Amino acid sequence: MNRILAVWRKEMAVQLVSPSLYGIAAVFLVVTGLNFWKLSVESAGTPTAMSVLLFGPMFFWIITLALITALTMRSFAEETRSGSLELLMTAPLSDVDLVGGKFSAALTLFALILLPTAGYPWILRACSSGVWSVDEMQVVMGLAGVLLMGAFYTSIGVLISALSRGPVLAALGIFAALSLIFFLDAFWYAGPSGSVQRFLDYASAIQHVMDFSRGILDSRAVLFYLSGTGLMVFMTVKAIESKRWR
Amino acid sequence: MIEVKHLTRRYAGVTAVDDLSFSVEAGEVTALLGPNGAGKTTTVRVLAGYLQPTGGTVTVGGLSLDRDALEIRRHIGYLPENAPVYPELRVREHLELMGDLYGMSLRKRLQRIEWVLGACGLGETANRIIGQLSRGYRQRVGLAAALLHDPDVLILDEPTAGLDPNQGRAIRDVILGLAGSRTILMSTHSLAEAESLCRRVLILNRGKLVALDTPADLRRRSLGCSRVAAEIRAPLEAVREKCAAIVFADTVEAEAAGEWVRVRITSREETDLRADVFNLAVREHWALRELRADHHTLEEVFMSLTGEESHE
Repeated sequence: MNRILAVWRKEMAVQLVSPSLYGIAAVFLVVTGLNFWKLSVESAGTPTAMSVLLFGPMFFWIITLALITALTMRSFAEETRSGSLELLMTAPLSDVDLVGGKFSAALTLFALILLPTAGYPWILRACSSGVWSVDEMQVVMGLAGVLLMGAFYTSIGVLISALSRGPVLAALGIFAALSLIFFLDAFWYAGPSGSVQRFLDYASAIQHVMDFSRGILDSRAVLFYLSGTGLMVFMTVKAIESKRWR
Repeated sequence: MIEVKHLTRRYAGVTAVDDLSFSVEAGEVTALLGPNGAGKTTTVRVLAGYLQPTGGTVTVGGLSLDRDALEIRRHIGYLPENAPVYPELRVREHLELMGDLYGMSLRKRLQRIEWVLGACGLGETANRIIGQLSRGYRQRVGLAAALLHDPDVLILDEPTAGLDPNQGRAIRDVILGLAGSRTILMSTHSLAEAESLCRRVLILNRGKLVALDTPADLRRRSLGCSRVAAEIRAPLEAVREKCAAIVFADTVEAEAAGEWVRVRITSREETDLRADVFNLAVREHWALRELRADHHTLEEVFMSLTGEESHE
């Protein structure tokens, strides 16, 4: 555990001094903030749940996939390109320590950047002189749902980064894979008979988060995302191990 | 200290290291020399624990690379080729994080950081961002990181490659300062460097060990024992003929330089031919303006062993 934490600290230190991280965070918050504002203006007068305004729009998810791509693309690929992976792989760390530290650091950054979105409803309430009400539980549970799926997506990003030679290639691979999984997931949920509109409305990732925010804990979904994350982390460990044999 | 037995490493279809066996004694500085593609980096990477060997065994300080993979890494300080570092970080931050990865306590880390900063001449750059430093300084940061956890064994992959002569000398000075207290194995393709730093030289070619000896013994063993160079004022043909007649002279190379003749005589025997050449000149009433023992350079040894040009 100590060694995983050492890798986590190293990863956070390198990421937190990189200006691009702040650029990415700013873009994510501005874009999701504007989107939230636009939706709340449009739906003024009709009772709409905060979690729907926050996590409901397809656009929020696309930008979230982009955020995860940006946070994970450099994870292993940048170290492979610069050669510093050799430093980590010859330090007294197991491959599990290395992957665990990298994955948890990427997830921490994702959580840190996501967290401020939870403040949007309160800002809206303050600006609209109390017309909108905020159900805290709804927002917190919705956020937990996004984090759960974020963990799964982050683990996919870290795996692809470990398989790539450089961050640019990794970014293309990660965004393609995440989009594919996100939309396939949606397709499966809506069923092949559903119309395109229904399919997009009920993108299952979105549906899961909506359920979450309503307090409905679908254990199958939780299990699916948790075991998926575990599987991806395990595969990343194997990918790093295989580098020693290549 | 380092024992390598029948080490083999293959990459998809290519054998980079082929049945390599050698050992390095504690406190010894050994150079791993060879042309590009000889298997130096692969050997070094296997020893540092980065690559798994295809076959053979490696032990360092009695620990096996196979069974004690993590423990062995605590005893090894490794500087990879091109000294990768985190360019975003400051020198001190980089060292702190590397110490953390090696499981050093905060107190030990702070203590050792001061020591390595001093030893590697980084005192004034401790708070600068690594990406803004020159290549020579980045190399020093890499070396400082390799030394940080106070390893018994240092494995350095081309520590001075790509540096200007001053930067190279600074790194060599650090290595010289460590010789004796640490076991050092360094790969290099600079023969002068190997000769000035290392007690023993290990020459690899196409993944195989072609020689392992002290620089002086290597010279003697692989190319005749002794060679004498002289400049004599006499007709070229006469010099060639008379010199060839000297007992123990095996080959004579002579060339005219104005009215002087430059001659080199090689003997396979361990004998000093300088007296013979002097006596010859006296006997023939030739003027002699230079007479010296001509050492083979390690470069010539290298070329004769590997059949290739060196890179420096």
